[in-house]
Amino acid sequence: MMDKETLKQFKILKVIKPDEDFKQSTRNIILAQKPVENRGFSFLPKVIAFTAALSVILVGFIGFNSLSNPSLASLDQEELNNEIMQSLQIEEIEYRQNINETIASALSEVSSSRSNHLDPSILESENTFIQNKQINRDEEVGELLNQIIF
Amino acid sequence: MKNKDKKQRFAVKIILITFLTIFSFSINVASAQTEEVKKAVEETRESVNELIEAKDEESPLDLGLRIETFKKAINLSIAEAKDLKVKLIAEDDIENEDFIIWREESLVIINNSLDYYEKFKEYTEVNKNRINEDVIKDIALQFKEEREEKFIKINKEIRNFLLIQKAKETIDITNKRWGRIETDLENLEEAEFIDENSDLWSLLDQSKVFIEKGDKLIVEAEENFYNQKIRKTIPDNLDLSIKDDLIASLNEMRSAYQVFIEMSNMVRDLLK
Repeated sequence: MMDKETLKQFKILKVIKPDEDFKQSTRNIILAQKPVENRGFSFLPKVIAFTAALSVILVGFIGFNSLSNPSLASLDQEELNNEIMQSLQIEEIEYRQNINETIASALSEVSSSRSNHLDPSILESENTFIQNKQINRDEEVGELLNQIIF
Repeated sequence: MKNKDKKQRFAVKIILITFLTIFSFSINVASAQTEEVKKAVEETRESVNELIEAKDEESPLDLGLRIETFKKAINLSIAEAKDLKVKLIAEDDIENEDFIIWREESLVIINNSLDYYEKFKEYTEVNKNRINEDVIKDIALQFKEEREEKFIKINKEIRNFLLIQKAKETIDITNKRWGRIETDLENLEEAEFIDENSDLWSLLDQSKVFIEKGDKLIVEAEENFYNQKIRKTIPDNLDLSIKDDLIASLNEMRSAYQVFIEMSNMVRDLLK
C-alpha cells in the first residue's frame, strides 16, 4: 500500500513535461544515430527475457504451492486420524474402572470359600457388563471403519 | 593445554549426557508407570483364574494360590496408586489455588494408601509360611474393606480430575485444528478456488457446533467437579456421571473430525 505522500509525488511527476525545443533537439539526435550491431552480445536481451520468463513461472509455481500446501496440510487425513487416535480414548476412560473391578474380584476370591464365578448374581452382572462393552466396541469399530472409508 | 581441552570437552559431554538422561527419564516416568499398571492387571487376572480353577478342583494348592492372588492384588493397588501420584504431580500447570490445595491433599491420601498397602505386602511376605486359609481370608477382607472405605473415593476423584484435564487437551487440539482449517479456507477463497457460499464453509460451521457441544460437556463436568470437591455445593455422595460426560464429549470431537475428513476429500477434489 502506497501512502498518500507517495501518491501525491507521483501525481506531481505525471504533469512534468519537457521543454518543446529540448524535445525536438533530442529527437533529432536520436534519429541521426545509425543502429550499431553488437554481434558478440546480441543474444543477451533474449537470455534476459528468457530468464525473466522462467523466474515468473518459478515464482508463480512456488506461490501456488505455498498457497495450496497449507490448505492440504490442515486437512491431511493421516494427521487428522493420528490426532483423533492420540486424543482421549473410550478405553482410557473405562480402563481405570477395570482396575478397581480386578482388585475387588481378586480380593473377593481370596476371602471367599467358594468360587464366585458360579454365583448367579455375579454371572448376571458380568453378562450385563460384557453386553455393554460389546455395544461400545461395536460403536467404536464403526467409527474407525468410517474413518478408513472416508 | 591439550589435556585441559580434553578435560573440558569430557566435562561438557558428561553434563549433556546427564541432562538428556534426566530429561528423557522425566518424560518416560508417567508412561512406565502406566505400563506397570497394565502388567499388574494382567498378572492379577491370571492369578484369579488360577485360584478359581483350584477352588473348583478342590486342589491342595488352593492356599498358596490365595496368598499369591492377594499379593498380586496388593501389587496392583500399589501400581495404581503410584500411577495416579505421578500423573497428579505432572499436572503442575494448575493455576486455580483451590485445585492446588485439593491436589496437595489428594497426594497426602495417596501416600497414606501406599504406606498402608506396603504394610500388608510386608506382613504377607514375612508370614507367608505361617498364614493359614482363615488368616488369608481375614486379611484379604480387611484389606478390601479399608481400601473401599478410605481410598476408592479419592482414587475415583483423581481419575475424574485427570480425565477432565485430558479431555480439555483434546478440545484444545481440536480447536487449533479448526483454526488452521479456517485459515486455509480463507486462503482458498482469496485465491478464488472457493467462494463464500462453498459447502466447505457450511461444513466448517457444522464442525464448530460439534466442538462447542463437546466443550460445553467438559466445562459442565469440570464445574460440577469443582462444586462438589471445592465449593461443596453438591453433596459428596452424589455420582456426577463424569465418565458419561467425557464419553459424550469425546464422541462430539470424533464427529468434528469426521467432518474434517469429509472436507479433506472435498479440498482434494477441488485442487486436482
